[in-house]
Amino acid sequence: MIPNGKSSLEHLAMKLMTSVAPQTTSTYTAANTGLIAMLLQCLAQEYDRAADARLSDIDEIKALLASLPPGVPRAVVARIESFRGARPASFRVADVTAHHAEALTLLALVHEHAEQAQLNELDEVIWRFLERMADRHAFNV
Amino acid sequence: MNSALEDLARRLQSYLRDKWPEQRELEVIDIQQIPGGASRETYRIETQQLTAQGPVARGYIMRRDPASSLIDTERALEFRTYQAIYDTDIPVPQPLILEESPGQLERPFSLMAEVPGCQSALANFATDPYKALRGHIGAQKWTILGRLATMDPTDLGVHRFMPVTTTRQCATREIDYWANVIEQDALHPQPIAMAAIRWLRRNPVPPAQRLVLVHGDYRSGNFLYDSRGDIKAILDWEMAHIGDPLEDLAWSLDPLWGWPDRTLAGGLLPRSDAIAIWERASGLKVDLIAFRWWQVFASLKALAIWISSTENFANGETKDPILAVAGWVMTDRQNRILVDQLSPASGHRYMEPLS
Repeated sequence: MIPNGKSSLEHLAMKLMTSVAPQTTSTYTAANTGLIAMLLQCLAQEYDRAADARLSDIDEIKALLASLPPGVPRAVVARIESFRGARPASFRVADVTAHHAEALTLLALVHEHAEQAQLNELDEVIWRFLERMADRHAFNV
Repeated sequence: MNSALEDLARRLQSYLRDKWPEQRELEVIDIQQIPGGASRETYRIETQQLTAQGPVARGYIMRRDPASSLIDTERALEFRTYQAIYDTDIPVPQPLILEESPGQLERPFSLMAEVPGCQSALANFATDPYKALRGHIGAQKWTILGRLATMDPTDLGVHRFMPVTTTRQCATREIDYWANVIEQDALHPQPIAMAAIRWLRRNPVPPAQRLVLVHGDYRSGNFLYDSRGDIKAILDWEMAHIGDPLEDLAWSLDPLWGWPDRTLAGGLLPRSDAIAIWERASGLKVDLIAFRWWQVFASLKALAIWISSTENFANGETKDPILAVAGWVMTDRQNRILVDQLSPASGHRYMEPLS
């Protein structure tokens, strides 16, 4: 195996950008080659952090949902309790992503409740989380 | 020219000879697919025909429906909008043919006259010689948009093929449409988009000051400029509709179009300068409450397009890399922009608040 997949993918992206793209004769193909090189850079970053970024989000959301404010619908509370005790089926990215999806869905439900009940402190806590999440998943390209 | 392009050229030549029998011995002498058209396949075509003065070459731009697209739009609406605008002082390419039957070219297409000697790349604005022309280009860009806001949609005739709305309903119609796109197309939960939709619905926008023809995608990258920095054509009217003039202004100022430069809207001018130019040209004053709503809406609509492109890339027939870039890089940036606009704890990293 190549232990450092991230840098390997970055090298491939650079090769595509500097060696392959200049050899293309059509502007359309050159543009597409540049885009694919950019996507390879994204893939390199995602390869490196995919599990960590999702699991960090999940851990933060579980902590955030540990003490719920009053008024959250019962069905949502039951779902949150079940989720807080659950783990991803495996550490394959697809399984972690499925667990992440449930975390985000529950967070959005609680966020909506916080807005409706004018729980401003909780609203701000959730926005701060959303900002950290957006930064965690940002691509540097 | 590869064999697929050769075949397309041959079939287009046959089509054009039928369509324009008066053009003697018309030949398609070159055809090239060009980048930039994310919602349609775009081709630059060169033809030659015989005239009394000898052979004459002409350039055209053909936009053909792809198997799947970044934006689900009506080609007829875009073409008729070009026709409505062509005789005004808003510069657009001359619309020539709208072919809605799949027919000889397998998919519907439109043909427009090429605007020669121009480019549209936004990246040029960061370096000379265009860096020195940013102010000149920006002044035209927002003056043209302001002029568009002075035109009555009924006088233009666009009400005959666009949904008619009211000053109160136009914003509701837009948010309903794009919220539905997100609901239908999101492959993963979107807590930031959902929060933005709820914010837009909790904070209804004041009625539009007037109803105008909204371009729908007015931004750097969607106009042609020449080597002197003169804007020669506004492109990509496929999301045009009747609505609030602030919608286009807010869209044009979204931080994404100048990314990563926080200070220059669309890579051209400070936002406050762009707004002042637009106000002078339109005769309208920007209502900051309404404008904030349209700014959040603009970012949400863009995010909806990126989410939709992700779905198209994952499930559609077209695996164009631009769809994956939009769905990956653009979604990331637009999420950060929306958080920046809406978080009570925002540090306004991407866009300074207007006051």
